[in-house]
Amino acid sequence: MHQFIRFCNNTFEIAFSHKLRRRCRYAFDRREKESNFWEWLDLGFKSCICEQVSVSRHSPGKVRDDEKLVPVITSHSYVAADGTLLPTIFDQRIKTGMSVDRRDFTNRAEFDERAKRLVSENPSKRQYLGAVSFSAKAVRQVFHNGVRCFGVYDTALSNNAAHAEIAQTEEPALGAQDRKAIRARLRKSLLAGIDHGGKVVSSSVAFDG
Amino acid sequence: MTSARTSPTVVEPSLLDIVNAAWPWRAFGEASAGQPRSLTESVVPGGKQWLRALDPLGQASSHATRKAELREVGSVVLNRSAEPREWGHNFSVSVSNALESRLASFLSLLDDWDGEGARAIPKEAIFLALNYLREMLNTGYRLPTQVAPSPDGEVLLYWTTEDKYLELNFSEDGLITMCVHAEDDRVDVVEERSDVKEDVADASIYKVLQQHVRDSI
Repeated sequence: MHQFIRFCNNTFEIAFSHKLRRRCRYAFDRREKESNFWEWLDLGFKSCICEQVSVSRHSPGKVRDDEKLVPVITSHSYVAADGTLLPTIFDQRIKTGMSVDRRDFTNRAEFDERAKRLVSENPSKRQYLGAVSFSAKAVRQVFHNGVRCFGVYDTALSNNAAHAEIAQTEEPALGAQDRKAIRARLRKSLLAGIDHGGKVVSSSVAFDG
Repeated sequence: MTSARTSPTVVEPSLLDIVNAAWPWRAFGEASAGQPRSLTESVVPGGKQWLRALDPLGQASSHATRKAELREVGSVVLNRSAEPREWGHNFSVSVSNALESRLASFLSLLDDWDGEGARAIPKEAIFLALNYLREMLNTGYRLPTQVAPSPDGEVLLYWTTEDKYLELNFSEDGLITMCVHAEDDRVDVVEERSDVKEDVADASIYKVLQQHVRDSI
């Protein structure tokens, strides 16, 4: 009897997962068409449910909690005098989806090349300073009033299989104070979760060290 | 009969006047806020067009203005405000602390300072934050771990330990928001509207902040 129940559970999970993956991929394929994509996504997929499947056909798989995420740091204003990353760097970009690389699926040379390309798009304002790394869990563990606040999705691109994005879930009912509380929660979580003592390091340290 | 004709007075512009006219005048801190803004026009006819040609987006002018303001920060402390009481060129920089210096440097952050579309940090928010920082320095208060500019145009002061976190946000409209991450994973948010000329020590949010920093940080 137990074996039969387990078999039913597994079959149901597999069937559910396939259906969810199809729906999520369809949603992420519509990204270019939706002006406020993350808000739109949250209307149909509550509680970051699309994290449970792989949302890109170029992706090596969904982002695990223990995976290291590596964003490029391109502005001196986000780095303190002692080399510590300032947590305000995540404020704006997370609202529109913050691009990061998954350390397990790329290497230093590829990361450096992408960073240089990013800087070349706006060379007067951006400078390649290095990177930080933190686990996906540091972002996913941020809850407010029992609701998940940030999702990490494997939005791999055709030219970058390691591409992932961190995005804030949209809760229209939340007031200004709740939003500030969520922002503080994320800042605290990332300050504690960034490797190398919260410091911006060179890509060689972030990847090989 | 010869009539005495008086020749019109011609004032030769000095080299400095010409340089001032050809470049954003506030860059040199020569003109105070009380002087007419048409100084450029009065010295060199068509000077504004020259400026526009030299700097079509006005970025250099704006940057120079912010730099002039940066040099003026710290000149007046009598009214307990970091905001300069009057604009002028005989100012001095009295930055006594690394955090204070860093905070004052945010005046140079113009729109899109991070290359990702960040908003300029308004001077009102910076002066307000400087007032709080100075009060902490004067009273031997525990100083923030760091100060940071926010891409939303706010200034952040935060204190952090292994398990505690406290932040103070200053915005352009004088709104100060304090977020305290309590032990039971609750985040308390306290807000108060303030003015740069107000005495920081009298602000109720400052008293709450003092208590939190003393008790939990």
